[in-house]
Amino acid sequence: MEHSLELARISKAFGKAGVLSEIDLTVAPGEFLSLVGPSGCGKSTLLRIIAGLERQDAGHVRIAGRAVDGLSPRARNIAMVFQNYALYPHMSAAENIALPLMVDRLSLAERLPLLRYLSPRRKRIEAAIAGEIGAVAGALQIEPLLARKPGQLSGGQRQRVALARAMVRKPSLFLMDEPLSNLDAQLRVHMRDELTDLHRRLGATFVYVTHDQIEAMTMSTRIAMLDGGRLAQIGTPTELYERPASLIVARFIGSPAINILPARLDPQGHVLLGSLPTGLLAAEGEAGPVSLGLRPEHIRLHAVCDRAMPMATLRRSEHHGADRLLHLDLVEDRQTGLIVRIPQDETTQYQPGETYGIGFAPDKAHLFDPSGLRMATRTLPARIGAAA
Amino acid sequence: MQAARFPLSTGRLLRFAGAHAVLMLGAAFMLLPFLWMLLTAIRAPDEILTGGLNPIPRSLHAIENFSAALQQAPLLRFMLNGVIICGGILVIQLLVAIPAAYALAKLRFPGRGLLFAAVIGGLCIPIQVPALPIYLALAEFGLLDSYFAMMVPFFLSVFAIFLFRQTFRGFPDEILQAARVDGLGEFEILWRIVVPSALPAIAAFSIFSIVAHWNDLYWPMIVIQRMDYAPPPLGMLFFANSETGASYGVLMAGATIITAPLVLVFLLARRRFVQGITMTGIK
Repeated sequence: MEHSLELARISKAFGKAGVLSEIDLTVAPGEFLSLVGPSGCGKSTLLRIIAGLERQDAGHVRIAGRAVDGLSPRARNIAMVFQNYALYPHMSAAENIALPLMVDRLSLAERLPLLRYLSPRRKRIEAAIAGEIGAVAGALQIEPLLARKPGQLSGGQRQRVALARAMVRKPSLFLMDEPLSNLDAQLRVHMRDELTDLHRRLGATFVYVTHDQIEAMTMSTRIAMLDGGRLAQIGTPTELYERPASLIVARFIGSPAINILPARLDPQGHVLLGSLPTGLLAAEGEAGPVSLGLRPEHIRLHAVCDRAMPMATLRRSEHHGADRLLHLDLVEDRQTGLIVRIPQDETTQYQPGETYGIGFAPDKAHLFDPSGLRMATRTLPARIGAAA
Repeated sequence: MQAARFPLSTGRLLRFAGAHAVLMLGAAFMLLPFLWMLLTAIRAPDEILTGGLNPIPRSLHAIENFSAALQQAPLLRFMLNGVIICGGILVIQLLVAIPAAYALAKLRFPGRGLLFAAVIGGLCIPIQVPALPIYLALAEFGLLDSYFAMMVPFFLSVFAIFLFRQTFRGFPDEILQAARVDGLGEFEILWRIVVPSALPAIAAFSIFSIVAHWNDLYWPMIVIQRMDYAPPPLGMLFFANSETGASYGVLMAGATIITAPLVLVFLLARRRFVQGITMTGIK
């Protein structure tokens, strides 16, 4: 099957500053791919290159199996939704939605003021367009707003009109540039739901840029994370969460963020926290400092500490509905904070100021070498110093 | 209690009154010639030179003066000339300056900075500098004594390019990109999307342009010999020389008639004009 979108070795620089280097990416039809990354990682530039609004310095873009490198945005058969909605301010919602169809179906002369009244087919085409606008507006429930100007619409309504303008062309590819970031928190959650639903109904391919990992995790079929203009990792949300390829991905994905503890490899490859063995064994790698990553929900606290394990003092406990987040400081290393997620009904046993032992299942731990890349690990058959 | 409800202290009141006194003095200084023009236009001829500075006319002579002005001089012809010249200049200025300003504000191309510097430089050159070469060229092609000769030096307005460039720069790039994705070409983007939101600036510039060229005496005096083509101020000059002599009442009635359209245009477009020169209202 043809890919909906293929990027081959895309590079781009603005002046001397490299923005993107050698991005390779394929998106299958019907996928919802999120491009995530910290601000300035090049994700918006990549989206603009796909759209044809920006020219790449090197590499190729193929959309629906067709090379589009020299083509204008219009010829690429894509639609784009922008962060600030980008509605035409002096046109009504209906005129905004109609514009791409008018451009597709009427000649330039038929779009000119006065001259357009000479065209015999204009009325028929405009009636057809009005029908399609009605259908799209119905799907997005914006019919009552069609006569209003963008200035008279709320943020959520504007975003729906912008979505309608994108949908009405039935493009092969939807590009979205942080479409939810200007909405308030509640509306954002609601629109997330609507967008996922829309993606399922349309069966179209979405490429979605966001800096919000929660949006990416909840909506996407796959996530591509960019960092410093390079592809840091691409995979399903589960893959990025459970097997982050680097420290940067591990830190970016997941909320609250992953705990990173400074650790050490001994010459036999045992991972040591302080001087205590963790039951984790590096498959390869030299002795020296490494980083140990632990998701907040994979840490267990032990009140009775009869085994050798790292100790931490509970500083604060936060209510998060079903869960509670415990903030701790390592006893041995006061600089390193730790966040642990505990189901609400277990929280009464933990008191601020008390010291607890830190335990975790070695197979849930992530190990990163000094350059930040993931290291392969094994767990020791007999667990030493750790409890599940 | 009284003071709390009316928080103007004596000091603030004095400053307020002082500022307004200065502003009113300035306004009076600007308006006095117009007031005197109006007063002269309604006075009897013998009263104009003998009445001194007494502002109140002893006898009303308005009807005689205005009808004399309209009969003795082809005032309507002068005003029609003015409309043709101002309209022609303005239309071409807008057609040239708007695309140029859009390119300078929003398109990326080599030499853009240099071209914009040239525009700024152009702002510093008064009409008197290129007057002679333009006159010679017009004479060479036999184009003197025509509407075209009066309009051609003003077709390209660097002031308009500068003003519109500043306005267009504030227009959101995202909307331009959305229009490109929707398939609009750059010219259509400019005229259908950008220009409608720049109307205040365009109105402000139009007033500047119309006032400047309606009142222009210098350039028409150089290129026009025939009274048929004279715009209002030049027409008044011909009129003052030939027909009326020292009949100031009639002369001032004529001046009042040709100033009136400008005042009307300004009053109609006042709000947009103020919006335009304060450069707000875009977003």
